[in-house]
Amino acid sequence: MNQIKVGKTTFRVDSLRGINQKEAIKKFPKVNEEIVKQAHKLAKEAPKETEKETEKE
Amino acid sequence: MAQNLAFDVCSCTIGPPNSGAPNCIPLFGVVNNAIIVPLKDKDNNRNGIDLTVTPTASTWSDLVNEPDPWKRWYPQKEMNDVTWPKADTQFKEAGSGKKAKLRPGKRSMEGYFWEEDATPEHLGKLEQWECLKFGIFYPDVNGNLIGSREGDFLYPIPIDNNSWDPRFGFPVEDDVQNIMLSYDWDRNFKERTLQMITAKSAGIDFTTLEGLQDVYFTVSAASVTDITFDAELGFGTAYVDNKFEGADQLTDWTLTNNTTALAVTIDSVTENSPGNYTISYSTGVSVGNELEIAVAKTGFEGKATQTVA
Repeated sequence: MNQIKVGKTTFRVDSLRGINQKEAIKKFPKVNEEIVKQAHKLAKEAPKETEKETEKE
Repeated sequence: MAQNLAFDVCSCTIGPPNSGAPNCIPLFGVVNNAIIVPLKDKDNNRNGIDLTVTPTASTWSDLVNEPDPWKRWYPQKEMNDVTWPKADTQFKEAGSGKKAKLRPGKRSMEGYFWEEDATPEHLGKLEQWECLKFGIFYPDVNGNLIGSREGDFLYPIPIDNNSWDPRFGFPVEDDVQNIMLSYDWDRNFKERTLQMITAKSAGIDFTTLEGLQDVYFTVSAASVTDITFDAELGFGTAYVDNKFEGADQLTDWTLTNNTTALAVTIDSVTENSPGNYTISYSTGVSVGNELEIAVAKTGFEGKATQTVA
């Protein structure tokens, strides 16, 4: 499963794709806003077809 | 075809046994621990090891992590001071001195769990086996696995569950906290069927197998977008639980909407503090649905349900 970890939250990459940053923040109301922003940015940069896991603490 | 050792000793078709034996016969080591296995799965099939199938690297860990609890292996902690009392054979004896064999004496086992392996929680888990039909494989100290050979299968040795008796022992000046466990083998078990799988041929030291850990949930809230809960491992103190920490990967959990009977795709997992998690999702959950959260991390088992508000 393609996932991104930012801080203590792991996101499914596809859940952050196809939406803008505001929508992403709204989609994850329980997650720190800065973490969602960072994850959204990384999801946009992540290659689509690979299973590579990106991790940023 | 291997020799069938589960024969009837006094069958009229069996003649005198030869007494020769090859060299280098492998011997059992001292028993290290027990691996409890239900005698039958829920379809009433006997649980055993098919000796015609070559074990792979995952064969043994798959049995410990088996999702079906009636097929799963339950490795117990190391035992100490294990003894194997054997009751005397019972005879009917006439006044003339003539004897007739009534039955062989039953085999018992007695041993001790010490210290961290002898908590009241362990006692409770052991007590639960009293009500189940089960058998035991014994890993010896050399990592071999002792069981009962019947045809092409090695089966767990059947236990008389009514004799199963774990007892907690407080620490005293000259003894540690302990649990004494005693029980009998099934009275019809034929000890000549005992045989082992060596660690070498299995590709594993059987003493290294560890049982699944239970995970207990306290769900604080579930909405149409997320569920938040505490996850603990038990074995704590009255105020301090052992937290289930570090399960922050998407693959560590599964979510199911029990109302629709459909899996819910997890969008994110956050470990808010040690053992406290929030799992987010965006589709497939409505108010009033029953949501089931379950651990999917290898080595653990637990689930809880919560109605979505």
